[in-house]
Amino acid sequence: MTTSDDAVAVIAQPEIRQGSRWRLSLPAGLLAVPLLFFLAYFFFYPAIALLFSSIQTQNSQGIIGRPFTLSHYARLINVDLYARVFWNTLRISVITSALATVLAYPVALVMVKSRPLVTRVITLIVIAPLVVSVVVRGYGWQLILANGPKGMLNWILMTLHITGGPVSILYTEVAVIIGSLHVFFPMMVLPLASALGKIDPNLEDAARMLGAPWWKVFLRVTLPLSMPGFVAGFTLVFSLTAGSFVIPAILGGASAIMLGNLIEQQIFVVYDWPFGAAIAVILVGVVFAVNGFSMWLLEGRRLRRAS
Amino acid sequence: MDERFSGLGAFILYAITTAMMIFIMAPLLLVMAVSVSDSYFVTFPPQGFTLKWYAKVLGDRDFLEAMRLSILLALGTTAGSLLLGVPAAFALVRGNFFGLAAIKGFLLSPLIFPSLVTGLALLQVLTKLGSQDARLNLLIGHIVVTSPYVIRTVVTSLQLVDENLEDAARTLGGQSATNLLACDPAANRIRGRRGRAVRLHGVVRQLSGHDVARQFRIFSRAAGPDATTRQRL
Repeated sequence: MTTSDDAVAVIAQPEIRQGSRWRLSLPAGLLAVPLLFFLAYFFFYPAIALLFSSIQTQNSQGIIGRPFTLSHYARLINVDLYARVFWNTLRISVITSALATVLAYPVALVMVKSRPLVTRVITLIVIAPLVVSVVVRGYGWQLILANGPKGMLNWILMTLHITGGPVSILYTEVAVIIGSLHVFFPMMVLPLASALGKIDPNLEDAARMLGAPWWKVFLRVTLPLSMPGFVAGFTLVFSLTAGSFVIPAILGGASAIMLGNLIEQQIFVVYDWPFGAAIAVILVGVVFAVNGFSMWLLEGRRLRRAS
Repeated sequence: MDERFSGLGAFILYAITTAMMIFIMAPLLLVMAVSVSDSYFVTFPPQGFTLKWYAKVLGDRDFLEAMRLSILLALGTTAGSLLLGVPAAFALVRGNFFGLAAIKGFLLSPLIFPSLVTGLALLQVLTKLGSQDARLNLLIGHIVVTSPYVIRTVVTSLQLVDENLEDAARTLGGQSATNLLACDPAANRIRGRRGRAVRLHGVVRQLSGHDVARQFRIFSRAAGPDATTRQRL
């Protein structure tokens, strides 16, 4: 009795599955249509339009149109100030991502391998800043880094007699890097922790039992196996830092302008839409290139592991 | 416990982790401390204790109006991005059509676009369209930016749902739509938990979504006094 029921179920199952698949597939696809239209109209089309305005000219009435030109891009390359902002942005983004990597590895390791309570507390602290606006966090850093003896950092340094007088960090590149590190640190820790959590602990135990010191276990086993998390985190932090403009505006002042600030300036102060659009295209290009490269890296890894 | 870490390695790990926890919390705690500090100028260490700044801000009409707009925008954005994003996520997980991967990439692409650029591009198009209602523009911009988060979260949780449960419900006579929403306890449980996370995520993105907001604030100033009075941020 039971066996024949099972047999019926087994025979019947593929049919039901196929039927349900077919029945679901058409309406299921249609469910994406509203968002597709919404994004096509309010995201894709505007992005293309912005790309187009970067190769057009703006007349004295502020109307953007023909003739087509690449002069905005030429200006970006030839004018020293703009080229410097571009390199500043790249440098700040690379340094921030590198620092985030170095500092996130220990945090992610402790987060993954500790007692549940410790894990929970660390996770909470890492995620906590995400619910606070970037503006508030920027002002927090302004209070800490404030130049002169009233800033928290200077007060600590001077009370402990580490430095004779106040140091000036606010409104420099260092302040922007500190602020960006603070804002985007969770984007590094979370992918890393998820990658580290997937590593079979037996592999590390085996290495340790065979006599490898802790740093060798890390370099030869943990680090290579956590590469996907590292690549994902690095890409995220880099992209977000390169595209940010709130943190440099609050902490960088006039001396650490990034591409985002330059775009805002060109469009809202100078009202030069085509030039602002050209900078935006360059920024998007850089972010896409880094994303594409990291995707290529991850794909390559997957292939190598499979073979 | 914690015998995985020992000796110098453990010391370095815990030292850096502790330092980073302090690094993360310091600016947040300092802002809180300064908000109850008695002195008019910011000094460190903060002096005195007072709640007068809170009283002042709660009595400020500009603040209250901005707060109201923020909350309304957060609710509107959450509703909008869930309404558009959840069905789209279903389509991505359960659908079986040509170009699925491309469409998924397209729907998630606002994630890697710098939100400053998204805001500018949208501003340019909305200006051309003559859309002067800054609140509506803000809502559209925020839905664009938040919808990929909804998709990513819902897609992940849907992949955890055992489709056999839904098939079972269907063979027992349920309709596919009602299965998804009611008959399927596992899906429901997961959806409930994740759904909350999604909503929170959306609201959080929105409340800290000054990137987009800033564009429109400036835009509304440029658009004239009428827009400015309606749009205080």
